[in-house]
Amino acid sequence: MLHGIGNMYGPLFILFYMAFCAVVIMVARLVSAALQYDPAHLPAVTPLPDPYQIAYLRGGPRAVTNLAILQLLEEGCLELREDTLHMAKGRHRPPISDARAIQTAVWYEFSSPKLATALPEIALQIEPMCIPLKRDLYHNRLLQTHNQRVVGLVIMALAATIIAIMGLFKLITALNNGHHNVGFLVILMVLQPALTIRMCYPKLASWRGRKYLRRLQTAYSQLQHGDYSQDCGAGISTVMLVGAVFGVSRMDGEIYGPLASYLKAPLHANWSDSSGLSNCAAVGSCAGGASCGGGGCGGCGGGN
Amino acid sequence: MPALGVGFSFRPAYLADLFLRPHSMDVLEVIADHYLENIADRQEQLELLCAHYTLLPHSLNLSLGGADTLDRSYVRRLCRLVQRLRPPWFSDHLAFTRAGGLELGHLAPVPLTKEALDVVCQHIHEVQDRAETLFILENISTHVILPGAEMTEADFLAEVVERTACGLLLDLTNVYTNAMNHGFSADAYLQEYPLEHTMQIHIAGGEWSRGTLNDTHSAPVPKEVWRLLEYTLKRYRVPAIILERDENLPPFESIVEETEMARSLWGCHAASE
Repeated sequence: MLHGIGNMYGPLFILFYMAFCAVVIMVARLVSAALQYDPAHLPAVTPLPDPYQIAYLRGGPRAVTNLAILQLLEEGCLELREDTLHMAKGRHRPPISDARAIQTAVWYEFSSPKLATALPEIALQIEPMCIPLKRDLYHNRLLQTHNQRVVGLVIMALAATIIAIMGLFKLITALNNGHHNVGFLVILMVLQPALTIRMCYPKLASWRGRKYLRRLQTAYSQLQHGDYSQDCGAGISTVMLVGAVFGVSRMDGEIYGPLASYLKAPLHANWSDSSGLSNCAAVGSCAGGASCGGGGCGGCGGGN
Repeated sequence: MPALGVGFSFRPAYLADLFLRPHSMDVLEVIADHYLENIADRQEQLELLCAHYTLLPHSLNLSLGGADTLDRSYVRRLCRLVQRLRPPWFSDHLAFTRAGGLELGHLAPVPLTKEALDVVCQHIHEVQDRAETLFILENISTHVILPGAEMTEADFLAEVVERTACGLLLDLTNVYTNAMNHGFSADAYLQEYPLEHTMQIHIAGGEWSRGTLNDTHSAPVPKEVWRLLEYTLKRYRVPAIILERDENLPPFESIVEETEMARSLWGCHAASE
């Protein structure tokens, strides 16, 4: 079989290699999920948990920051003007009664007007304040433990290695056979680790956490584009619920649309809270081989 | 049988409301046919509902009164759903929806004859054996009374229960609708009806059109049906009451108001037992 693969015609091998990458990545993801499988009952969707906890589960400190900004805007403590966010004039601080440390810290960050590109830095600042949120999420096994993340990283590394070995095998065989048209193969081999990392990097939320978040999103999906004015009970507004469950940058309408646009601005700087379940920084990828498979004339040292 | 309480026939439009007002319903009925296909969104919705409520699957297409054999694929998928949800019972209608291999698209009445009785009983046996869960049979509303009846509907249902050990779903709005359209007394029908085998009650509101009352599930429950509910509950404490609403969907508050009204009647007669 290896002999057959080694002597495979170049463009055919490129196709085979891309399929091989897809299968290995898929298997790695399945194995990761299977190792985290936890059949215990999920927490109930109702009564509503702390919106900041949901936000953390969905997108870590970045989503928590966005939610704090949303709440501060709702309370009139921040103002959004065009592409900058700043403290509202005449408001000294968020209402003390329900201001949590995160909210206050985020508010102080806007003592001078800030562009959206400053948000990743703010998220880093508030990360230590998210410990109480994480504690409860860990308690419910909704976040990946350190061990689970290590196992996930090992599986990811194994997948990348297996793909690399296959590529390397073909590369060596081709070069040994005197074929030097291996450009596409080399490009694929360079890009595949990035793709593997993007697809297999251990997520912040555990399998249970992702399932729980999906349940929340299913339960409240109708609120996403609806009337944000109603109270959800337990003192939680629909705005905060939607912001927590779906992401502030997914909100729309005259009032929240501009904020969503503001938050989406630094997307290219690896900033988003609407990606949902991913904790993996956006990395350059091969986009399903679009940049590597075209033409099929360069080949990769096919045997014939 | 457990007393499940009062709920409504779930419609996806009320999904968020259901979780924002978590204690408004004791039990939910789900239209089984909506969840037979493996559509990810619907299956997630069902899983969510199942995790928070007791669900009572209600199917529309078993065609129990049809001369055709049961649709094996439909029965298999329905039974798989029932086994997954583990409800106390599941239901369908005393009707046929398929004839000569053609789907009729509506519930057609079954002739009240011994021959039809044999067919219905045989079909219920098949379904119940396969699902390993109690099946309950619902009376329907009809625009015509088929000639050649050899027994009353109440006798027919009692005989079905006797032969198959299934339960009954009493649709009070259908009783009222038939009484209005065919000129008989709903109270007299209920006197004959084998109430002691009733697991569930349906209530809904219909609409008059050209002198005929249609069971459209598009209006609030009429006063007369509330009276029939009270009358029924006085005689027998039915384990579950389900409000149906398919069209002209009102705000969730209206649904809650009607279910609360039903619950007060249900609770009141439970307490007096």
